[in-house]
Amino acid sequence: MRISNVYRPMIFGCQADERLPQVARRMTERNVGALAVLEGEQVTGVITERDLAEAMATCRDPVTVTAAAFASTELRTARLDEDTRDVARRMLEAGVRHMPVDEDGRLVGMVSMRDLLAVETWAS
Amino acid sequence: MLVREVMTAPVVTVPRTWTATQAVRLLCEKDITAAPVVDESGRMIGIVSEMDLLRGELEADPRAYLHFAAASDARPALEVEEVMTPNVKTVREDTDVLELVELLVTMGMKSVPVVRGDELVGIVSRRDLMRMLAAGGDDADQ
Repeated sequence: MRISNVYRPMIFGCQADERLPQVARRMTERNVGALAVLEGEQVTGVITERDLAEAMATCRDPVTVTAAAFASTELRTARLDEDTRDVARRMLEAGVRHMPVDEDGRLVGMVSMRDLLAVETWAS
Repeated sequence: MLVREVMTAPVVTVPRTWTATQAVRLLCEKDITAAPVVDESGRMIGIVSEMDLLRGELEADPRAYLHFAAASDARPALEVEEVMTPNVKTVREDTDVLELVELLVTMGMKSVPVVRGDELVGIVSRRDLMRMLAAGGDDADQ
């Protein structure tokens, strides 16, 4: 099975200068665990629930901190034509539950560990 | 703030006798990332997460990586107990949330069960912490 069969063709994002409570609200409203971080329309990173938990653990006043401070700028992406099991292995190795999906250098969606687990379960 | 103020209760649990596939379906249906595994008497014996289940599926039979469709018919069903994490870290209802957050981050945990004595009374996940953080700040009503 290919990523193109299971990914979610939409990217929910936040601006790099948005503060963490707003970022957390976007995640809970959209029911997602990761957001693309944007400067204007340019994707500069990804911020996840884990990043926000780390901010809560390490910042004296996390509500004043911006998304950019805790976003990961090292983008690990999945390709549309990549095998779902290859991506699942890369997620496990990296210890991440979400990956942006890339098509010719452009982000076109997101795939989560949940999506990949569903493939395994319904395929078996 | 105390754990009891942010925890989710009652807790969705997975019986120890279930297969990994049954557990995956439950996590998807309930939209949760992990669930405590309980024995016949309701005592918690472990916790199983999406990551445990996916790793279990991929590692159960290395050949399945190349020939998944054929191999899945041949291999016995993977049991929850084979992939769960035993010896679960827990917190009490009156634990400070900041102590819990530190546990989540330093131990790389995604959810922590909440116990009262031996009884499982709740669970706190990263998602619960997101709701707490979302309620903070002076732009909470935007």
